[in-house]
Amino acid sequence: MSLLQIKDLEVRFAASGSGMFGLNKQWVRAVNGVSLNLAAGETLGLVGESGSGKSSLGRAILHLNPISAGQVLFDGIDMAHGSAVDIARLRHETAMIFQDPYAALNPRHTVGETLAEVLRVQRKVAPEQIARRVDELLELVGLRPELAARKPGSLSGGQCQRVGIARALAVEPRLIIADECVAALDVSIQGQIINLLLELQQRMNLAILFIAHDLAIVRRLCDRVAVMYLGKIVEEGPVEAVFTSPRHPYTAALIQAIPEIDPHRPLPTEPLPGEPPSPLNLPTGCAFHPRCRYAQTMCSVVLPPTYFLHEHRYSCVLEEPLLQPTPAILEQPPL
Amino acid sequence: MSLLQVRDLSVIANNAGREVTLVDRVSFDLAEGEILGLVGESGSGKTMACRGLIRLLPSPNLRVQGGAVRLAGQDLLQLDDAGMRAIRGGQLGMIFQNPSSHLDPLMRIGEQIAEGIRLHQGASKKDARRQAIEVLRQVGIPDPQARVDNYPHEFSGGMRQRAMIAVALGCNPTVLIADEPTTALDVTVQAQILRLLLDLRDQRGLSIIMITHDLGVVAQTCDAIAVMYAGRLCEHGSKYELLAHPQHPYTAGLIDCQPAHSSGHALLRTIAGQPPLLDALPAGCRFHPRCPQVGSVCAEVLPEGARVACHYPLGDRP
Repeated sequence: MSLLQIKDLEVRFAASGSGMFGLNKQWVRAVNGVSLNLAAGETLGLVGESGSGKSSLGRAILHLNPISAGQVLFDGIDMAHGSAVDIARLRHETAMIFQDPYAALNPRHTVGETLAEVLRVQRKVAPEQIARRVDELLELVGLRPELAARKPGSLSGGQCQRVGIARALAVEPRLIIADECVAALDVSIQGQIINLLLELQQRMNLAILFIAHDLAIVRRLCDRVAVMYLGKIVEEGPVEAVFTSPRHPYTAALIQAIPEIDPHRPLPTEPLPGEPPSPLNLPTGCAFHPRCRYAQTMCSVVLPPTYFLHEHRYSCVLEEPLLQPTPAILEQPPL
Repeated sequence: MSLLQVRDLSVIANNAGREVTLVDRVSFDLAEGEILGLVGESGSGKTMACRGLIRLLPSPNLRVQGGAVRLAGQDLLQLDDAGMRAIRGGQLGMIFQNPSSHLDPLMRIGEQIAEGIRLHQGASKKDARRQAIEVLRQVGIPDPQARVDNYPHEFSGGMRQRAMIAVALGCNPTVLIADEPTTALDVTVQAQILRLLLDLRDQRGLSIIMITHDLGVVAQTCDAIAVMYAGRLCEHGSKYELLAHPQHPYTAGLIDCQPAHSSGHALLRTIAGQPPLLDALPAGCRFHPRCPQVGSVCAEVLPEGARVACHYPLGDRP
């Protein structure tokens, strides 16, 4: 059974200033009927443009956002309607890593205090063992124990993100939600953090929901990938299947837009036009149809059907795969 | 002769009497219609070098030292402030990473474009507005006649970046400095903006310095690449040469770091450690503490060289 099962999840926010006294309230449907499964030890990438609802979904899973409808089953227990005890258990076994490593840490606490607080609140180890466990956690993420006495202001971005990961690991989680956790880091540091996640995941059998806009990293790190557009999953499947034969035109456009380090591969002459429309005013039918080059008249009227092809699913009226040549790969010189 | 020549440009910060060199004797050329990618990690000095050459340093504690910046033969560093103001926003335009903080939120888009045209070309109000609409059309804003009267908040993120490009293009610059122009944008919108910059180069012969940390963006748009590390230019060459046969171990490391090469859970190659602090630089080559092929001379002598600044360049690897 899956560790995490999401069924028809909806997250709605009231738009500010919508109608006098809240009459005619408008709703932003950030997550609009999402179903996903995540098994223990599995890494699922969640990609999409800004405003697609991927962060809202990630936060809703951990009850950091209100859930408007649907179910979030963690270990078979429905957290959407869970009691305080259930949610306390959820927090005891899950953790989140955030995008901005400086903003996610308390600037007035030392690294050691930050980690000790989690251990104390979640009662993970006996009080007299907290100091030793803090050292272990720092070592686990490749930091020297002396850093426990430092405050975030005197750490580099990469070091701060390692502390963020150590804090997530302090609860000994079975599920980690990583929201754009390398987006703010320089390339040479990005690789170090990705490698750390890969190693930890294999060692601890972690399930990771990896929210990112960088498809190249997702391809490298994840087992499966889900593509989100305006609150819906438009395509989902094993990473290789999705990247080599995307079925949804939006997925194909995203993959095509990845800048590849291949000087012989030109920029697409006709990139995907436009930007995602406001989630306040979702287009009728398939939400992607105003930007889709394959759109037919029916696309603006009816919701596209969802097709299943082994473990690969996609919601589009097109039945033929959108084949495109895999970008030529530059030879990797040995270092 | 190249349109823009930068020679031994340094930018010095004065921190309460202590001088720190942010950019150390950087030299490069830019030909007409050429796109040069200036690549490096945060703090490498790529933005400061360009801010220095356009003389738009963000703090009075910063100053340009020595060297020359020749635009069509004229040394910009010798100009007085009035002379520089005529060049800046005229022949030399600049666009930034975050359009929201570089457009005036209280001024209509059209007025922001027209302001520069009136100042630099002495155009009438009516004429400047007509030109502003034309520029908006060129940068791909739909319905420019109506959009010219919008405020920045009425534009989406991608359209704001187009509007900022329009402001810079208003006075027909010959050189455009683009500082991380697509970093804040989604990949699909990034592709649109890069395509726009390439088209502008092709149509107008515009020369562009593209400051970026993304080697993928550079590979797809630039003609030449200059790589910066800790304030120094460490490698400079054509994009084909530099990406296929990097000579500096740092360039090779940056290329190897990119995750785009393959899938599967193989570990990524990384560059160990982190860039040095500019007020505590290591002796000799600034990259030597992180360099996989460091030699004895590296810790003692700062390497020089226009093509590659390394004591042990990698040569042509198989």
